[in-house]
This record gives sequence, C-alpha cells and structure tokens, in this order.
Amino acid sequence: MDTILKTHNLTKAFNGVEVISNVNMTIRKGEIYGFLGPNGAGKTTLMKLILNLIKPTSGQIELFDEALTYSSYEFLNRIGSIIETAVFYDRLTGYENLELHCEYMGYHEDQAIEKALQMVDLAHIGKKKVKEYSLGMKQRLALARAIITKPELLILDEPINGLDPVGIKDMRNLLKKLNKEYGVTILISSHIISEIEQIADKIGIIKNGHLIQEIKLEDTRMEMKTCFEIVVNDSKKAALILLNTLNLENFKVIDDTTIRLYDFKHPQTEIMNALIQNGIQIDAFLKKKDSLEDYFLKNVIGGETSA
Amino acid sequence: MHKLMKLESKKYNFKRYIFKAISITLILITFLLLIFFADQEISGKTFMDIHQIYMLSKTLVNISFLILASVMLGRIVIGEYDKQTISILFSYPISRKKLILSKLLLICSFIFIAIICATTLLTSTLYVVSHIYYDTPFDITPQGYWSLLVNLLINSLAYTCLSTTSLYFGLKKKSSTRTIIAGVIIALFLGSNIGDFSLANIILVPIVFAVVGIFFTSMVIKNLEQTDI
Repeated sequence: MDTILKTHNLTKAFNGVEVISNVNMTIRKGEIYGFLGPNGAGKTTLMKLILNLIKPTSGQIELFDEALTYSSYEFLNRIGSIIETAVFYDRLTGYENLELHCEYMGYHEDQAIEKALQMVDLAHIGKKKVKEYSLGMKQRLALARAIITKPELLILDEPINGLDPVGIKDMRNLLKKLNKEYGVTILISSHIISEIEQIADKIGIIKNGHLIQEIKLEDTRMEMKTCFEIVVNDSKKAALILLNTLNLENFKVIDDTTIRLYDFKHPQTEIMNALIQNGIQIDAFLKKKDSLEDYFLKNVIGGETSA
Repeated sequence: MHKLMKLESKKYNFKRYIFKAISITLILITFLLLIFFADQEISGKTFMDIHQIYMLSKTLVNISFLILASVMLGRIVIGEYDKQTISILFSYPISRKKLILSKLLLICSFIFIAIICATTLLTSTLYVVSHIYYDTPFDITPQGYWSLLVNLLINSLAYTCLSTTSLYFGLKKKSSTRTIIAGVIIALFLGSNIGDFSLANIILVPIVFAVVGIFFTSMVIKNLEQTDI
C-alpha cells in the first residue's frame, strides 16, 4: 500500500452551496502532508469528510485501499485525529478520558496512557478534571489522545492552536519523530505557513473549496529563488540606477525602501559601489532565500508587486 | 453492547439519576398520603379498592418517569451533540447505530426498573396504610395479585418504550430542551390511562404505546449514518 489516501472529484455542498469542489488529492504512506489555505477554505470540512463524519455530496474517498461508504467505520481504528477545538468529557480527568478512548478503540496496552501523556509533557496532571485545564493543556491532551493508539494516519486540524512557542516546538519535534521512527503518515492543516514549511513533505493549497495546487516541498525549494535584498533610502532611484548604470533588469521593487535582485552576474561590491556613487544610502545588503510564505503569497494569492 | 453500555455509564454520574428517581417516588408517596388523610370522605370514594389505588399509582409514576426519561435522553444523548463530543464518539470504529442504541438501552433499563419499583412502592404503601386506618382495608386475592403483577410488567415495558419517543423530536433540532418538552407533552396526554381494567386497557393500549416508541426510535437510528456532524 503506497497511497494511504486518495480522493476522486470529492464534492460537498451544504444547502446547495458547494464548500468543497472536485478535490483530487493524494497522500502517500509515510508522508507529512500540509493543508494550507485561508480561513473558511474548507480544510476542516475536508478532514471531516475523510473521517466520515460528513458524507460527500459526490465523488469518492479511498482510504487504506478501500472506498469509503456511508456505513464504513472499521478503518477508524487506524486513524488518530484532532478536529477543530479539542473536546473531552469535562467531568472526568485526563487519564479517564484517555482510558475511555482506548476502550472505544479496542486498544489494550499496558502503560500506553502513561507513555502518551509523557510524550506530550502532561505526565503529572494527576486527578485534575478536564474542565479545569487551560487551552494549551487541552491541546496537548488532544494530541495524546490522537497518538495513543499508535495510528497509521494522524489527521490534525490546526494542532498548534493555543500552544505557546515551547509547546509548538515540542509538538513539531514529536510529529517529526513519529513520522521518522514509526512511519506515521500525517495530515496537518494550519494557516501558519512557517510551521507547515518546517514540517511538511507535500503541500496542498486550498482556496474556496478547491485544491489549487499539490506540490512537493522539495520542488518549491527549487522554485524559491535566492536573491540579494537591498534596503535603501529611495528604492525607485536605486532601481533606475540598477537599470541604467548596470543594465540589470531582473529585480523587483518590494516597497519604498526594498529591492530584490535576482541577477548575480555582478559581484556585490560592484553593485554597492554603483549605488553609493549615485547618492543612494544603503542600510542593508543581504543574500536571501524566498520563504514559503513569499512563494505562497506570490503564486496563490496572486499578488505581484512590480517595478 | 453490554460493554458499550458500561462505557456510557462511566461518562455520566448515575447516582444523580438514582437520587432523582428516589426523590420523585417519595414526593408521589407524600402526595398520595396527603389525599388519603386529608379527607376521609373523599378518600373513601377515591380509594375504593386495590385496583383503583394501583391505577392511580401507575398513572402518577408513568407521567413522572416519562418526564425523567426525557431529561436523561436530553442529557445523555442530545448532550453529546451539544458539547460536540459526538464528533469524537462517531470517530470510533463502532457503528453509530450501536453507539446510540447503547445509550438508549442504558436509559430504558434504568427507567423500566424505576417504574416497576416506584409503582410497587406506591401501591404497597397505600395497601399497608389502608390496613392500619380503614375499617374495611383493601384486600387482594392471589389471582388478583398475579394479574396486577402482569399488568405492572406490561405497563412498565410499554411506557419505557414510549419514553424514547421524545428523543426523535429533540434530535431534530439537537436541543435537549425540546426533548424535555416533548416528553412532558407525551406524558400529560398519554400518561393517564385511568379506566376500567378492561381488556383493551391491559393489552391493546400498552402494545400501541410500545409500537409507537419503537417506531420513533427506529426513525432516529435509521438516519444516523446519513447525518453530517
């Protein structure tokens, strides 16, 4: 089984309005797949469709090499998930919630709960009832619940929601570890591009219910260009100088004070000299690589600032 | 199924419901005793024989516990929808039908036993009191005893089934308030089954009630797999 998930023209409409349209996505085994998209794009809806919580209007989902039907449910014990804000049985403690979870999943392993709590740094929650937990603690408990049965596929909807920077780093490391050491396939959604960038192998970009692009991160890295980023006091004047004095065209004016140069024919010093001699004040001159955020904004949101 | 019911009982504090059931029973006993002692003349006419007091107890118990059942349904079934824990529950590798059915069976078993105990308690209390205070106390023949028992069992079963009807109405709007209101309406209209100990009363009416209850429950269960969460 090479592909864990495949969707064919998956469509979902609520009251006649299509919220997911003809989505064809593929997730291979062992991959970390990042869902990227603005609020309301349909990321959570797609995840619910995969979990069979929502039924498709048309199209098909193939999970673990089997097509999903209205009444499918056995596949669910191979999946761990966090959908929307994590909910628990508030009257019970975190430990009891996990106990219930294991019972329902049919998972019986000694010390599994202790291990899972340790992995998410909640080892000493003791007898505290979940209604007394902070948001960060609930998120951690949700992650513990998702991973405790050692699932083959993890579906995580904005899992870093509510976590502090340390928590975010811990979760990132934990997910990477689960992926590398246990071969867990992970589907993770976020609007925080920098987080996805650090962890995903493949990215699916969703906008208005359409899967606009599916790209491997290594491919984007080739497209994300290196450039010289020059911070000056007057970028328009500097642009003219680059054009007229150095015959450089391959650059972009980002704003009043920033230019990005994609041409490396001329050495740094030559460019700097040309600018200084013409009265331009240089505040910074860096070699920079496009981040995924720039790539995303450029190619997806479709805004390009031009010279 | 048994295991599922056990898991359900862990999620909710059943002691609370036992406490409520006992309180209801005590209130009803007090109510009946008040009538009994208030006015010997009136009570003399109301409590003519064992059948009458049984009918009266039965009616009061049916109405009260039907409402209690809809309260429990509201909290145990609809409550999961309210709190969104239903999305966790339905992401388990167990059929949705079984999950909801286990909740229903748990509540129904509880209500069934409660109705039997409460009706027995009420009737027995009045029976004992009649022996102490009446010149002509209620009497019961062995055959009469059995016919009452059979009637009790059929009645409890029928009303237990009927009590699940309120779930259908509450689930439509995913509201526990609606469930309780539906329960109250059903209880007030159908709870009073006062009349003669006629054949129709013993057999036909309870069967109709049970069928109605089962019908509405099956409607609920049938739609589960198509519903979006």
